[in-house]
Amino acid sequence: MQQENLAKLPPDFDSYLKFISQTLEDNRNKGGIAMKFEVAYFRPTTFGDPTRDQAADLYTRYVTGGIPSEKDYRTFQDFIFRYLVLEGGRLHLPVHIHTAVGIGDYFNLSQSNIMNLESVLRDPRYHNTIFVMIHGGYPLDHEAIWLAAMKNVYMDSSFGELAQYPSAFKNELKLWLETFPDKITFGTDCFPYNEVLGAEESYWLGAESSRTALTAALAEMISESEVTEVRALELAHAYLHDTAVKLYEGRVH
Amino acid sequence: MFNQRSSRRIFVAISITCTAIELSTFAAAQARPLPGPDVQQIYDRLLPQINKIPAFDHHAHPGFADDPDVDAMAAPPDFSEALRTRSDNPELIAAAKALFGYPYTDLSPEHAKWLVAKKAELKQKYAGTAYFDMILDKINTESSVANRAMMPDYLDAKRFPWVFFADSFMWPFNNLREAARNPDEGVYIPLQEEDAAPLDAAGESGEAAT
Repeated sequence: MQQENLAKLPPDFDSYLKFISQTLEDNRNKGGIAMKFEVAYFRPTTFGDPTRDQAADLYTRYVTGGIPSEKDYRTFQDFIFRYLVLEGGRLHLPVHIHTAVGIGDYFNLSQSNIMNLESVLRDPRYHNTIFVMIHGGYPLDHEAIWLAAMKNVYMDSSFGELAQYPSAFKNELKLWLETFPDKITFGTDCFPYNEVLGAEESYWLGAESSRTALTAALAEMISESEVTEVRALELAHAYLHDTAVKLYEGRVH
Repeated sequence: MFNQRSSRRIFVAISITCTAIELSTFAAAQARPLPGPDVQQIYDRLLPQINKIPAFDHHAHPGFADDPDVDAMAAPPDFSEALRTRSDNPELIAAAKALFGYPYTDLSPEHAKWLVAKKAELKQKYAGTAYFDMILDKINTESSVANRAMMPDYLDAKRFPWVFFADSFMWPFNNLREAARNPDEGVYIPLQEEDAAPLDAAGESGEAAT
């Protein structure tokens, strides 16, 4: 939000929502292709459905100061999250959401369960919004793939290939390839470790692990007479490249 | 004459052809519950073909270790890391060998200097955005999402499309209670506030961003 150069919060709720929309549009104009939430690190991912009036009242109450109660803050956040999701549909900005376990000893697994998002993902009001479940709900990837039954929901496999060795990650990919192969995408979740080992090594490990696990999964599927080699290579192209690229309407390649 | 009967025959013929084409992409036999002894051969045959597919990396945090905008988050102090994600994972040495020709089998402080120097040399050779473009080329990745707080000038926007963070819109008020919940939140929440610094409702940091 820093780029908007605002000195203080807008005085009323409508102006705050306009400010949010303007920032999203500005980020898109600067080359942003999607918005990302790491909300699971900060609060439970079960989102209520408060009215605009409820959120506006809370904004009025706390805009000039005061510490919101947890209940009040959650209610306000629930509305803002849903507003952002709607705006993602309007502005053609897919919504990426961290859905895996997280770092830190206090990360709450049960409160960040990917299934908590089901009521949002299956809400018809958001059918124009594309959702990408970053990290595919790992380690709940087995159940999570069924969320991809929604036409606008996609599963990203990043982090699974780093947290697991290829022999285990192969099983995750195989299940996904056998369930909704047209809704899964490749990612590395690369990150610089330290001054010696950087994002470079992380990129390499993620890419190598994903390609070998993918190949192993497809080899088993071919050997088990589930698919031909021709079809296996089509699935590989889709997972590694084509499915994700199609989400961005020519803005990426 | 193109009557109804011949039209129907053509329709049936087309339907059969389409079904045959569709089925040809799936295996003809009933699927088996176990892979056969050919699975290793299939793997060996498939891997070079899959390695040739240029990838689109749908989620990544590219950047240098000293860049604070690599993520909107930071690692909390003294946290437990899963085995394979630790920086002492020996597979990362294999990565350094593959990418940079790292000549050692360990990452002792003395040997690590070689890797730091090699990267510095390559950053000189591949100035500006060329360095990370070169890394993508080496791993056959056509483009990679850059999920970052802000984009730096050393990433090529054409190959590193930006995915920005939206969480801070949800924390515009006084966050003292939020940050005090546990030591991790004590790290995370101030970073969200930093992202939203001009919007501090309490007016404590209500200066325009620079």
